[in-house]
Amino acid sequence: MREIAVLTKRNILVYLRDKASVFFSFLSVIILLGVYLLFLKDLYKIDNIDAVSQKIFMIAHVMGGVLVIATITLSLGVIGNYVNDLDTKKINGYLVTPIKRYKLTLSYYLSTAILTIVLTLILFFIAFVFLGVASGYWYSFFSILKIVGMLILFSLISSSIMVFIASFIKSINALGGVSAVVGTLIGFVSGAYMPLTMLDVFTQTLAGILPFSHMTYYLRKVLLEPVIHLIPEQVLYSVGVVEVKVFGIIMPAYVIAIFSIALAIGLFVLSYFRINKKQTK
Amino acid sequence: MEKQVILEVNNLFKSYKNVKAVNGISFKVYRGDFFAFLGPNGAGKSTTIKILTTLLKQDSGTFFINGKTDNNYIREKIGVVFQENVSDNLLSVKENILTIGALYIRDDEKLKERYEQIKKEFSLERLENQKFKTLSGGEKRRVEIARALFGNPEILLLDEPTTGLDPESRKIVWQIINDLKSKNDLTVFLTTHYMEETNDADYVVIINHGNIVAQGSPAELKLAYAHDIFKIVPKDKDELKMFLEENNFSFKEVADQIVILVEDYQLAIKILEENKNNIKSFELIKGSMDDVFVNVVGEQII
Repeated sequence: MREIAVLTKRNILVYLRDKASVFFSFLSVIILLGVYLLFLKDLYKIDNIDAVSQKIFMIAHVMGGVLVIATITLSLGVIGNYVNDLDTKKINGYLVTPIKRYKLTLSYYLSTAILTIVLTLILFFIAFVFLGVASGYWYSFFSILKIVGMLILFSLISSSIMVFIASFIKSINALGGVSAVVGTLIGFVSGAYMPLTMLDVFTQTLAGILPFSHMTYYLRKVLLEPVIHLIPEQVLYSVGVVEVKVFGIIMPAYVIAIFSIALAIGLFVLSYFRINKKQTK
Repeated sequence: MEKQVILEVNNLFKSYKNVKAVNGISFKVYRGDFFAFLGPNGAGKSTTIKILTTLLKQDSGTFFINGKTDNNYIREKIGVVFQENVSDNLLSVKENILTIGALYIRDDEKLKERYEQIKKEFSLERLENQKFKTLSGGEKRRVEIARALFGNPEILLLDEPTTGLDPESRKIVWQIINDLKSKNDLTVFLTTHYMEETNDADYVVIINHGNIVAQGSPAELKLAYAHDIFKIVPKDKDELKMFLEENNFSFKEVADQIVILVEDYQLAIKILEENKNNIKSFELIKGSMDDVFVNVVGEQII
């Protein structure tokens, strides 16, 4: 356990001290904020609703997309440590010590999950304060608990998926390319970049299978709780706050949760074996 | 006292697709020895080192450290200095060493104690809080060696440890290795491109195309594969040439010199004695490990 903790701490420090890495992990989040503020502001203009509620609607909706994207880009950024260690052969420095291979593998997963959770929660805290100051509305303790719980779960799911993707990559250059493609793709299929309802049927079907769109929907639902009853159905549909169908069927939340958790565990186990195998040629 | 075998390699094979990287090599390394493992690029050196450090599995054959083949045991007994630095650039020297140290020593107090010991031994006091990336080439290697020795290994494997270093840093690295050898009775297993670094080795193995092509002490190898070069500036060139031809010496003319290949210095003395009145000046250049390498492998090492 001690060795896992030491290596996890090392991975965390290596990531946090590389300012460029941290910046690029947040880049998608920054771009997304820019896109909303510059181009999509008009989506939130609703007649017959007070200015404060409108502000809450806009900030909370954007916050939902940004936080889900953050879990993806942050976990992909942190697992870059593993790919970098492989690419620069730094990992060999650990493989020749008596540490068990599984501990090394777990340390990469744990550092990814921990950093994703912490940084996503910090982002949420910033957004929470911003919303409070800008609109005067502060989420209740119970709502915060719900949101934090969801963000932790989403971070774990995203981490598992991103660690699995990283287990196929051997060089840091390849990871850069994959990050750009995966980040953009997930940005769309999660409904964070633009409402899923504006996308074609194929993308909507794909979005239904992957957990990201469901994450965005459920998180936004909670974040929008104070104003959701004021927003007309039609507006909610146009901004994508609608349940995402899985192969045309609306699944209950618990089914989606179980499926997502199972997928995360399955991918975690697969990546665990893939990474372990890579370390013992 | 009979020397004790610390590392024994038996009939090691490793292929990549159709290429035989290591083709059934066997050798022994004795405790406390300085063992040099040489070969040109692609000879199978790196593959062998990877196998011996448990980074790669051999196709067949075995190797033992202290008679044991268990990977976990082996990892406890070896320290490895890689060609590329494996410390983290953005962590301090102390953080780098303690991270590795914690994988060997579980107790915090003992870990601290060992760190202080290593810090003193490698004179890292001034560097400990500096980020690894800010160190000079020689200082980086010093940290890499300190890191490799943290777990008190019985055998230190150095994979081309001075490649890319300036001469001053190379000298520092070798000072450290020599100190370690004399103080700790450490076994050193070295691969290198610099042939002069093998002059002090106890035993040298040369590998090419996956096979061992020569082995022995540097003196034995020089005797077998390198000739001394004896240069004479004679008063009468023709007279000296006649003498050399009559005695079947191999020689060539270079400007005003006659350059003769001699197997050992005794022959040079004989030539001097027989021609003492015909010599303006002379120079005897000892055969080097570079010559051994060129003669054995048939190509320059770099």
